[in-house]
Amino acid sequence: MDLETRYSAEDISRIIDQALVYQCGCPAQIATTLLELRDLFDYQVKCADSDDTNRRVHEAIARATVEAHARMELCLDEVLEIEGWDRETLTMPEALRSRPTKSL
Amino acid sequence: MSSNIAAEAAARSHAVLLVDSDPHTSALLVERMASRGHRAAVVPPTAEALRQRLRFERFDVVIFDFHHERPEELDACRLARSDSGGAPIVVLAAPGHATDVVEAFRERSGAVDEIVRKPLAGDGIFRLVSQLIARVRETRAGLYASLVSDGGRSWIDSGGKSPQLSEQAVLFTDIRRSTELVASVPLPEWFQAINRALSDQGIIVRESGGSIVKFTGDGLLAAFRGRGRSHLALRCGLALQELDRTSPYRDTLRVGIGIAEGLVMSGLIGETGRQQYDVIGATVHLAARLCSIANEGELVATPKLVRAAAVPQAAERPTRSVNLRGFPAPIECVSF
Repeated sequence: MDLETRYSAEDISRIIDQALVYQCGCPAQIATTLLELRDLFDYQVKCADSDDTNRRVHEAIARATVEAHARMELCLDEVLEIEGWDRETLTMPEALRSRPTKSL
Repeated sequence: MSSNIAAEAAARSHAVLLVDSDPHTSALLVERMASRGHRAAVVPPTAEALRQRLRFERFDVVIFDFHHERPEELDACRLARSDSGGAPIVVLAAPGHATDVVEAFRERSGAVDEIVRKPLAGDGIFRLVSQLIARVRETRAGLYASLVSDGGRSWIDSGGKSPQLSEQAVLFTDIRRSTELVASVPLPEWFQAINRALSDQGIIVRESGGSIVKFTGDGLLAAFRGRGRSHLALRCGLALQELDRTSPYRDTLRVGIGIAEGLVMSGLIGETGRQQYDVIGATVHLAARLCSIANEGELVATPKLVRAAAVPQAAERPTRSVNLRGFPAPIECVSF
């Protein structure tokens, strides 16, 4: 089973770069979750290579990770659309950049 | 706010230099730092801007906001490392590819102390900054402490009293032909050789019960107090003589040693606000003059000290009379 990605690692870095703190960065939180899901998928692939590993356990992890990843990428699409990001350059809209952050 | 509370707040407030090419994210960082009472200045990651800023200002920590599409900006960390006076350098990077780039740069350059993942959450960044600053301050405190002599430490530990008169045995060492040597040996090598020789001498002084008052460039001044001071000082001088005969650097570095005993005044000497512990008095001058007439590997002491020391090596040692600069009459001395 493969993990299909529509946002490259560079795309995700770009989104996170622009949302430095959690309080102003919903897309960054989703992007971080995508990276974690990719790490989990890579981990289970490596772990599944060992002989004594239960194949069904890894299939379950892989299936759930692929589904969750696809769902979170769709979620990122929606959030970027709602917030008005430039989808070509993945640039945060000016209105969001100048919005004051919440008190920490 | 009471003065104590104000002082504590000032101690917790750090001067932060934010290096960031993005005005939006730098504004967020300034806001976060200010919310915790830290003073933050922003500079773009260019050599010129950093040099300008670091030329006249000191910062407790440098925080670099890395943007993965501008990897060349990381070079600013090298400049920050060389010009920031030892301030720790923290790089903020997005997880994944960006963090990998910074990790590789850290390996190559050694110009990054910590990498913090973006987006920043909770108090982690503040705790990290405080820990890094505390570590730097601890290192600096150790360095400052190493600048204070044994005598200076004792003086501080005793409560920093006004100058005191006491009977002490005073011992000088000095490297012979140092003027000639310093002109013929590369200075870094000379520096290393002097430090090695003085380290070896320092160990012997302490093992002999003495304390180092100060290092004098290519020698040291040590003092011995209390009962048995003459015995301890002469034993120390003889051990230093043995070191001179047997050290691996005996072919190049040879020392002369002078010891005298008598009344000295000890305390702080220097300008207001910057002083060093020292001992003064005719006894100190006499020991220095005896050291100056000692040949390579020779120890010269006053007969009074030698008699009081009562060491077997001193039996039947002849005295001789020498003219010493600054002393109106010839001075009796004993050579070893």
